[in-house]
Amino acid sequence: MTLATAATAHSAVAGARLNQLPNEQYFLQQMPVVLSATRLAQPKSDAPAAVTIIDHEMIAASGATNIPDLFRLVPGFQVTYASGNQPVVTYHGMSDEYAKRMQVLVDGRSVYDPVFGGVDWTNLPVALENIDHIEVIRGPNGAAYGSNAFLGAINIVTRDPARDRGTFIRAAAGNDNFRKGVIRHGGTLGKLNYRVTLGYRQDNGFSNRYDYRRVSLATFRGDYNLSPTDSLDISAGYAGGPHGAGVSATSDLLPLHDSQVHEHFEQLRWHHFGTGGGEYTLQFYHNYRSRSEYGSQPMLASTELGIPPALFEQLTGEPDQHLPLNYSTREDRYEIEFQHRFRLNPSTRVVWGTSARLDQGGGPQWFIGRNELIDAHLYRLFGNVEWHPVRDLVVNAGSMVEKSSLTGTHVSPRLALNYHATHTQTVRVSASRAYRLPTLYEDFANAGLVTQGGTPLYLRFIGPGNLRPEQITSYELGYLATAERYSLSLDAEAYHHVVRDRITDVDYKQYPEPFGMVSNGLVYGNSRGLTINGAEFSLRYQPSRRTLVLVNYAYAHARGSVLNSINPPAPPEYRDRSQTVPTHTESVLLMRRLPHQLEASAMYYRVSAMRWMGNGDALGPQDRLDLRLAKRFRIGNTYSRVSVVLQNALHDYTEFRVENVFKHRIYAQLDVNLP
Amino acid sequence: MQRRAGARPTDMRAQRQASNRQPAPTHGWALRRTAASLRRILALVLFALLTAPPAHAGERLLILLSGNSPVYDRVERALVQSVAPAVRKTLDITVATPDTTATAERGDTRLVVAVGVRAATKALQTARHTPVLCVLVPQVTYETLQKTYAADSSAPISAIYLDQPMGRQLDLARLAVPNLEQVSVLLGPTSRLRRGALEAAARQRKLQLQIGEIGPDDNPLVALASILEDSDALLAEPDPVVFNRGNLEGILLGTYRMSIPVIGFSHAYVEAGALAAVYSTPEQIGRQTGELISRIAAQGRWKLPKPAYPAYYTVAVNRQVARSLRIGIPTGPQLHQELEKLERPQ
Repeated sequence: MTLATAATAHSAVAGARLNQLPNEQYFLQQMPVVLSATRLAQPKSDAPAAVTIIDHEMIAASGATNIPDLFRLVPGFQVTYASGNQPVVTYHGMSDEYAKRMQVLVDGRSVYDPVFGGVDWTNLPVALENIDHIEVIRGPNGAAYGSNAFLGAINIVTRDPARDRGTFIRAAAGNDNFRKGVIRHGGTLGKLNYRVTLGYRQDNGFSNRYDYRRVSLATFRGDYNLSPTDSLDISAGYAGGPHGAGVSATSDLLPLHDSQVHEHFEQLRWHHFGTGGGEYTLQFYHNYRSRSEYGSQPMLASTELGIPPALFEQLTGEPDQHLPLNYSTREDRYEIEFQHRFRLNPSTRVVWGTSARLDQGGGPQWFIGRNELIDAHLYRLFGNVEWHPVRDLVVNAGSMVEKSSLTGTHVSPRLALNYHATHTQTVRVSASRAYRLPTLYEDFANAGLVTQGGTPLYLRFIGPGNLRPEQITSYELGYLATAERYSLSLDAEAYHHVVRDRITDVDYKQYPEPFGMVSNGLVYGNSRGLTINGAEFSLRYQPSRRTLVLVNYAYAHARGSVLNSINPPAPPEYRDRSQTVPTHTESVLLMRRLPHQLEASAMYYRVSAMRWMGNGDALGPQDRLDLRLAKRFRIGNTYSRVSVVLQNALHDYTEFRVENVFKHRIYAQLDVNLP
Repeated sequence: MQRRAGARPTDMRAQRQASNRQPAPTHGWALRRTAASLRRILALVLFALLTAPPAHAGERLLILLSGNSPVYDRVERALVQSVAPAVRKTLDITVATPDTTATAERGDTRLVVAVGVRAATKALQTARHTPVLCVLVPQVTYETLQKTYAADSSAPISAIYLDQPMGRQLDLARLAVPNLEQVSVLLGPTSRLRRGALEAAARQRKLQLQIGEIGPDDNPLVALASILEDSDALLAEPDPVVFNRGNLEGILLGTYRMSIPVIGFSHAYVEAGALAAVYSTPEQIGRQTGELISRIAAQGRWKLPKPAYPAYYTVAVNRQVARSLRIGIPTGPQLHQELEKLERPQ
């Protein structure tokens, strides 16, 4: 009797426990292939271009509070601030306040500004905290990313929401009124993994400029797992707020004023994993950006135009006045894209796709006389074949055909051969061509001054409406090597880039203005180009996950000129633009995890003398050292972190314009993870 | 057991197989079945009687398979093949499943080899005096079964585990991941029983461990995030609460994005996206079992040794994942050789 009771009790215990105990099936069962060949990133040594990955460790170690500052870690990249709230990221310099020669994607969505070019990094609806990694292609990548992946391309990949379960809070404060707060919550609702992020950031910008920013941000990403082979990613976000703008109180066109920016996006991505290992992606997104920016000229119109007030009244029928400045803009982008990746045979991977895009943009004082948004359509067909004909050779052949409603059809091809000389060394040779489409502003600008009554008075920037795209042809020789024994890896490259048909503003000295006046008009046009020869390398030393040393150096030598001014009967004047490309760009990142959960890092960045275009200046060499110390501590099962960052530990230096003086900045930050 | 006997058509094959080798069952259990089942069983009994081999005078060995999956056939085939020919001649091997009626009740059975957890459960539940060797069973499962069912039994029992010794897994991690210093391990309700062994093995190898523990209701993805931060590799310790079909995708994608290689515990994990795994195939378990039987039968005393980890194992690597993680990794056979070298007594 006793025995029987004991046996029953045992069985009950076992019954409950046995459900949780692993059996042999658990060990022997089949599993879905997660990291399939199509899903795996192409290893650097097989990639057809020079690639730099900024991973989450580097992001943390950099101490950056802005996404753009991360690009100082990419060989040959320049990062500057046209104003405290207008960062500029470019490669090979060649930029004004809108870096027009770089394509930027966030989770496959192009955030390149169709109206002015470049990216509004300040109001990008992406939280730095949600970035998983950033993939940067150095050199043209039109074959994969299309037009505007001209000098390079940036692909920002946000974290999988499944990884962000629980609540994360970040609070940071520093000098110059820097304040930042982020709260993120991730969770699961049935088959939906979601993440909601709210953020706020403010700072005063440069001390002697009116360039403050107060940016609020809200983003959502939900990955809905329809089935083991299908998922639907739904993303949406908003960022925006008030900003300080203008150059000086007395500037005629850029007096001090405020602007209000609103940016939002909606994105839907459907992934399907086919039975044969193929992956299909269909995505649709919409970007919206508006800027409300009003001011008025500091001087009276008659003074500005240099005519007697009576003449002004006679010409316009309006009293002499402070002319209004309305720099408001609005832009929309809609795109639908289909992509299919598959393995054709054991030695060949293929990706191809097609897309259709509509860009719309406008702004009353940028496009005087146009009351409707300008439409630009773009249709694309692209493909890349990665072929391993023999064991140590990889051939990547790809091309993109684009048909633009404004500039016609262009083909951006690329051919790259990667030869694995040994299992630790790869040599890559590639040739490619890419285009930069004119921005809507370059093509259709009609910017200048109008009276309060709306009469055009004076035009400053003029788009001819018939611009050709800029063209770049690139030849690259790459060398990748790893020395595992010494934990070293090297990524080196030499290149020859030829830029043709550059689009720049040409000064027409006798430009006819309304009312029979003449003045200097800046008319956008294609002219000549630039040849850049250079070499760069990135050396990474990582003996363990606790130590990282990254050294980047880039050398670039540019030659070339563009049409600068036309003043008949004098011959057209060309200007050497080689100084817009800095000769040396260097960066170093050191990171070391210390005992007691401490972590120290340092980032040094230096760029040699260069001339920024547009409102920028010619600057001497600039360098900057950032230092960071962090300590992790545990709350329950999760890590939290407190860190202190000193930005620019050296002397003051200058960004973009002589008055943009970057002094010491220091901030403290607390990161808390709650389950 | 009775509920399932003969109820499913798929069970018929096992019954037939078993019946081929032994006289028909004589228990009265079938009387409670429906008439249809009864008729089917009677036909089967008749068939078995007609085809039964002549009675054998050898030592009776009962191989109890957990079911009809080919996995068990693979163990059985390898087992039988690996028994030394001299010993095999003296054996009368009976194969059964818990659904069939062959049991250890017969006095002349020298050894029950239970293949898989279901067979082990059945064998341990009914063990009286006959020794039971459980094979193809995970260690924690065996130990729990043993405590639950066989604590009071006088029958000698032992096992050949399906899972690998901790040291072997850590050695593989060290060989596969260059400059390995810190390994993360997430333990669940069952794998936490191996925590002591894990820590000892890591100490011996001067590896730092970052161990997380979760309960049945915790989310492994969240727990993983907290232990992966400084990690050089994730060692997947088998535990259905931590690693299962439902969350493997999240785990592999998550670790991949953090560039953290995963050391798995089965071939399927390597196919799914783990960097490498050390595991034993059913054939390898069968071979070890056969050899063990030869040894103890040759000694004549059928004395079971202590439970053992697999002596034969396979190492698999995912080259694509290795390349993508920029890890230069030797081949599976090379790693296997290295492991053998490490385990060879100095």
